[in-house]
Amino acid sequence: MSDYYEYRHVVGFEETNLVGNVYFTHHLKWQGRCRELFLRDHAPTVLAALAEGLCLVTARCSCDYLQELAPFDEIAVRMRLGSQAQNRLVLLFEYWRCGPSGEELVARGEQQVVSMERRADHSVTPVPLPEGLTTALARFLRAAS
Amino acid sequence: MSWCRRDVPAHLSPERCLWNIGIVTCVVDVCWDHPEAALLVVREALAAEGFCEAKYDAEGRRFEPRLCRLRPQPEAEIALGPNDLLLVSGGGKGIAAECALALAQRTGTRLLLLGRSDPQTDTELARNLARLAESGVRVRYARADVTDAAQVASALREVQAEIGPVTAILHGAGRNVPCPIRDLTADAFHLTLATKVTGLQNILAAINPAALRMLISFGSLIARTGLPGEADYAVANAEMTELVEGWQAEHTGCRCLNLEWSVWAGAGMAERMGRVEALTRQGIMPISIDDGIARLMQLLEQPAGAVSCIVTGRFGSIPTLKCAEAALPFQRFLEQPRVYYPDVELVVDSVLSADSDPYLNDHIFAGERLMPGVMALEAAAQVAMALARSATPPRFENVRFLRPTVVPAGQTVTLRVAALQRLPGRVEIAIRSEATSFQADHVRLTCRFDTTVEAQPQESPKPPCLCDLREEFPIRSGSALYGTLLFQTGRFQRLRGYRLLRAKACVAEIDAPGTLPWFGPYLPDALALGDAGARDSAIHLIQACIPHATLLPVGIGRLIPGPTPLAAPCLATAREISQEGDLFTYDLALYDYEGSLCESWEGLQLRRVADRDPAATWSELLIGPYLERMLAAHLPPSPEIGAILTSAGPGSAVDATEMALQQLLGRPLQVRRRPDGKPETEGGFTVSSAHCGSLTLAIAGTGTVSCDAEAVVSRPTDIWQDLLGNAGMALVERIARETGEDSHSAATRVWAAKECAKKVGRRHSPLLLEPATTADWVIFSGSDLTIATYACHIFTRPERLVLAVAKEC
Repeated sequence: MSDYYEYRHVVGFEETNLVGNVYFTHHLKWQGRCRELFLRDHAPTVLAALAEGLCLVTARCSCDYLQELAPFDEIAVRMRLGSQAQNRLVLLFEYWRCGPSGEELVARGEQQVVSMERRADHSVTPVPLPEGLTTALARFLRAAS
Repeated sequence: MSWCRRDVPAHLSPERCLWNIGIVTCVVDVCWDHPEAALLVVREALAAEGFCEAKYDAEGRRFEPRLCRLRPQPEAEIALGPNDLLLVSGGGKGIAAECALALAQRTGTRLLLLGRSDPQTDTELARNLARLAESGVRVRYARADVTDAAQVASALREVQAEIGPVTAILHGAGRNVPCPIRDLTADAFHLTLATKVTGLQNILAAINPAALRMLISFGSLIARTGLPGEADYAVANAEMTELVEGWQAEHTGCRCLNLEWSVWAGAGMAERMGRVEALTRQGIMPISIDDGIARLMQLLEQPAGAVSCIVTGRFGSIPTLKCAEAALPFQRFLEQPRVYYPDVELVVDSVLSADSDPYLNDHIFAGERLMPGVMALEAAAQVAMALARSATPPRFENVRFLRPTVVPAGQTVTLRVAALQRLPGRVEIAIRSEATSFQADHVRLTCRFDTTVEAQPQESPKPPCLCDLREEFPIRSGSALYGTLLFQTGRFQRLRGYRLLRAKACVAEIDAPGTLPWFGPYLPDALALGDAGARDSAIHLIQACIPHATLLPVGIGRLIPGPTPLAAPCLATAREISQEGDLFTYDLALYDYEGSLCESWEGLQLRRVADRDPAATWSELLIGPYLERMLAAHLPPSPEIGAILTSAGPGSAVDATEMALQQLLGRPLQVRRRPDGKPETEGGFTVSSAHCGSLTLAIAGTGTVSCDAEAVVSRPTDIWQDLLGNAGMALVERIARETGEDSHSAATRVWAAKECAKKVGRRHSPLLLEPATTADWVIFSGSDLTIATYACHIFTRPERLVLAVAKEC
């Protein structure tokens, strides 16, 4: 069993800038995409809870760009669990370019996600991570130690 | 170990099985004749991940084993006495020998040691036997190999015929020869089993079961956890456990105890094999000999209970030995548990920063963000309550604030709270910090949840000004003290003012909290002890009683929180219990506006860490307590004089005096005037007052006392000459020379001293200069009077002020 969740993506023209390489904000978008597909695949109850007031707030987000990307590059975004405490978890991302000659690490990312709940009065208050999420994390994302 | 009801899990977490990574292991214990036995086993196997162990009862209910802390029962005497004969196998040496000796000394029981070795040739055995005999224990040694039934039978037949039947057994014999499982031979395996299991069977066969009152067997934690190279030893111990549990079931009159020890230090198998250090490196804490013996005694003092008990320190994370689950509450200081053995030990880290803990910005002392003592108490309470699984806060005892915890701006500091519950309801706490590499205790305290001591806050007589709970009771605002005397800001700036402020007692009001959250937006905000800002105010409001020094709390004897978390607005009373050098001890009590006691503190210790700048300008509020402390030093001691300097409200001098004295004494009173203008009041006090512009200085004492207050005004020399006379002017010159102060201040002192003398009918007594003592103080003597004068600046007046108090010797 792998210790990461993978999201695959093929770079398109809409993601490149004038010079022809991928604009930096798209890497963060892919982090978000990877995260939400993980929930769809492994923690569907969390998606249901999001409709009922649960908020997964991104408290910190970063990306280290190691290589430029070009249209039609095939990217594997691999998400691992960095750490987990109370209502907070740190997700680690690796961006690999997959080609016929093998894989190449092109970027690294990290984000902290906080579990909160929106109350009737629209205020948000911290709540422990939902069980559906902790179970999915324990099953599918091994903590990097 | 106990079995806890559990349903088949939807999924189990993929534990790292220590020694079979990747192999799913599923142990199912189900009755053969259960109609759905096969189905249950298949269901278990399909659901299992990592290691899973389950047992089904006849009704098909599912249980999983969990390690639970033994709840102590009321103690009883150990059921052994001088008439008993305790057989100790494997008992010539090691832990069994140590335990046998301790048992014999404690109960007087006779010992019969059974072993293979010959004391003639085995020097360690010979030494131990000699030591036993020397310590006054009646001891016999019999030679027999426990694995040989015939040898055991013949040895025991002989001895029992001579000294009577065996009435108790301590089976400590064991064979532990580590060997990787691939190299383990059937012979070696059977030999290990023979010592533990067959050995005990042989002994039990050679004694009279009806005479046996106690059966103790020494097993090993390895039976539960496994250990590389110990497969045979683990099986042998597990089988012995079953044997002893079976014996207990058939012999209810015999007290059976199967002790599964982890590793011992200083004796035992691991020590002999040189493995203690290796195990310690893995985080396994060895049991000391004294500690192990104490545990054995403790368990034997329990009249009955579980047959199999595990005695262990930390043992790490082992899938086959799961602790009973106890989720930690969602609270600020329970961020990242590092060690958690429910009911026993909890070590938890929290990362502090000015972002996640914005209250640190409100507690900057001498340029450093200090974690406030009240927040250390909150952290301790959260951790202790989680460990003891208590919904109510503990009482705190022996609180020691040993080192400050500093959180520099823009940095994070990990705070580690370590909690250990040695006795139920008694949690010892140590708070450590990354700043000192976790190598020093910053705070140490004990949390108590047990009810053996006074569980309620202690009610002491209320000061009179507290009995009148009208909110409009006159208070003297304390807000001006922030930024000058008090460094606290924001969330901690909550002192509204004083109903009473004396050197050794005060009554103050604490404001309601603002709306600022304690922690960052992503962190749980609930406080187990309630309003930390109000509690901090209760400490720092004492600062006004000792206004010439800067104090920091260093300890609390006992803190008893109320039944509900502390809430403000509230009232606080503080009373000085003692002063020794730089250490001041106070008792504190917090009340709500209904007059109910909310929280009490005994023996709050405050240490002077800095002195006030003598040239600094005073808040008039602080003059009273300062004068009281200094007058106690400069004037004839006892009875002490109470003093207050206050701005009079509208009205006559009589009204101003009355109001000042009410504030000084903290209760309503009436002031009358003698024909010469001297104020008088009820209650056996001698009072005096003086006015200087809108200021009133009032004092209360016994015997002959008086006071005066004068602003320092520049006057032409001939005017001073007229006011003070020749002798007075000579005195002024002398003071100016000795103190270096200007002649107008010196002249004002002499004038104020003369006024004091005049008020007590000693208009013409000559004044003499006493030796200089403290800066800004000049002391005069005149016939039977001592007059202390103090010159200072206060915020509400532009000129310097001279305050003078006279007292009869």
